[in-house]
Amino acid sequence: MSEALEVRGLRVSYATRSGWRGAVAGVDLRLERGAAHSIVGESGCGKSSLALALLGLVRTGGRREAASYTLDGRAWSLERPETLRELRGRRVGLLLQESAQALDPRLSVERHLRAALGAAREGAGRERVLELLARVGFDAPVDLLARLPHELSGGMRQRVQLACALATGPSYLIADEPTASLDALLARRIVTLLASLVERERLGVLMVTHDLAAAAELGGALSVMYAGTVVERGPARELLLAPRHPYTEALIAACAAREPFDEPLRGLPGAAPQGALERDGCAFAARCPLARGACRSSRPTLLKLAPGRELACPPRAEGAGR
Amino acid sequence: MSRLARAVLRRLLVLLPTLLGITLLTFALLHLLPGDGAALRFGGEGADPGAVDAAAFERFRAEHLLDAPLWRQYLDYLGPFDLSPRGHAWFGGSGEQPWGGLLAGDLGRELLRPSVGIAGELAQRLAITVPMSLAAAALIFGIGWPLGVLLAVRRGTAIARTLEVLLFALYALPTFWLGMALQSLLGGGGLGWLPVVGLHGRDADSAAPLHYALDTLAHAVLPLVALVAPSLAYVARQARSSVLEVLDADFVLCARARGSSERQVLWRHVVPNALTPLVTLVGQTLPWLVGGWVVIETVFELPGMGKYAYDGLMRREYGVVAACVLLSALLTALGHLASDLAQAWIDPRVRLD
Repeated sequence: MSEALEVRGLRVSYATRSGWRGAVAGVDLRLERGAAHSIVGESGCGKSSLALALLGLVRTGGRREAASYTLDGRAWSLERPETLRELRGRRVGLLLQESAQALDPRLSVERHLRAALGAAREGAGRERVLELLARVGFDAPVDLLARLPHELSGGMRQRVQLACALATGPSYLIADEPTASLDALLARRIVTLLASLVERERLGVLMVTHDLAAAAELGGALSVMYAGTVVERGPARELLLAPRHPYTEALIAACAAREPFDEPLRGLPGAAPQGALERDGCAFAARCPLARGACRSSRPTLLKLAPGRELACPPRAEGAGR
Repeated sequence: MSRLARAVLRRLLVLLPTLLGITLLTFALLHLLPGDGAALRFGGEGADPGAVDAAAFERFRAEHLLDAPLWRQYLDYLGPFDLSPRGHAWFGGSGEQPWGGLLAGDLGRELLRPSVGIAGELAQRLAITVPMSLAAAALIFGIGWPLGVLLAVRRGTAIARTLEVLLFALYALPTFWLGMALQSLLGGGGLGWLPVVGLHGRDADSAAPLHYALDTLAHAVLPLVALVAPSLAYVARQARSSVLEVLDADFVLCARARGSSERQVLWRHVVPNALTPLVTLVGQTLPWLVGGWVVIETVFELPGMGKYAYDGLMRREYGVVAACVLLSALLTALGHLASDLAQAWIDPRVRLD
């Protein structure tokens, strides 16, 4: 039995005035226990929708479906409420971006954790609460118990949220932009914490981010998403050092925190397409320097390039030369 | 003294100048109206001047300071000295009744019915309006809030949509129109189900206690419905949008992601967060109801405070109107204070300062 979360043909769409608009278009994804997987891409590419859909969740006005959803070798239905409740929390946990709304503003740290523990089993004791807070790196958790969310710093709130996600004992953790809106040092701290959970507790961590450095730091696999599809996939560090897809190249070139610092940043002309999933052809073609006729008429699929490397760009795949 | 007690005391101290300003404003506005009590008592505007006993007219005006300058009338009203011809000797009075006015705790007597003390009459009428207001507030929030939560949770369904349209219509209806519509529909002229005027039937005084209570209740139904319906619609719509907003919050998503059931999510996270900011409304409803009663009690001829204020205004009974306005102002201020206290008690983030 393989210990992994595996989803095939995942789709998410949102209701608009002109009908359903696709946000995630049939993505396949595999997340192993004790391994990390990052998803990068610009805002609106569907990476957050993908992350929530892995828990069977959608934001208001959306719908999601998957051709298959397998957890530790067993097929799960995302349509039945009972299986969803069993899945959520106990198998797969969720960590959202830090915001004023990420924790219930009325509940103290202790009540947050008790509520989270209570979702798993009744009679959650204070020792369990303190243990969880220590697990996410708080040195003096007792001082924290009575505090309310607005009395904590952003980094502390994020760790409290992580403790809540871990309270139910999941084997997999979905982290949606866990480092966004944190300063660089706090962001590193959260990523290090996630990496240690992967290593020490054999958690499978899926991190959605637009921070390439965070993805590199977390390690494991990396999927690059553009307009609802995965365009390139491979081991994180290898992929970032030797990108194949022109979009990945553009993402790296636009990344501010890379050396040498005196080299000017390069942007990407054009904007992310709207409704690209409803049209034929490669969604990136309009902004791509390599685009040719075939790119605009047929949609490229993700093909194996080398062991662990996948690419959805025919011009580049051919250039790699068999 | 605790922080809370200090905060409350400070609010109460600020209240004093506010109330003083309100008495001044009410007094000035009332005296801008044409006519006065004397003119009404002695035949009103259209009366034949020859028929009016001019001497009695002037005597009445002098006795009640109606011929004095406004500032003197105001100071007489404010007290604690009585400035009328029979008032304190310091101010040229005969000294028969030196004290009077608000600061002496005296609301005065009616002009046209001198045997009626305003304070006593007001107390009698409050015995009707206060219980009715409490019942109205209980109905407004006891039904409005759960209804709003339900509409938010069941949004998009046919029943919810129908109810939303209905509530909007109710909210848009003027109170007096709704009252009159109910009267003609359910009263003697229509279906004849419920009594439409007054607080008791004709032979209520001789009835057994139980029958008396039922009779009063039957008389209270239509006025309550007419007053409550629009406010209830407003409160329900507000609760609905507040719940909808919280339903989209990240912490709700997180609670779902931990496997909490929809019911747990609703009661532990959504409802408390959605209703906390609405608690302030409860305290503010009381004075708002007083305004509603002026209309409803007039339409249904209930002898409550609202009708007293309306009649007082029509008869230029300055003392009556001023007392009613002052009482409403006091209720407004106390209502705000009470809702702030409730807010601080419920919401851990709010501190009274």
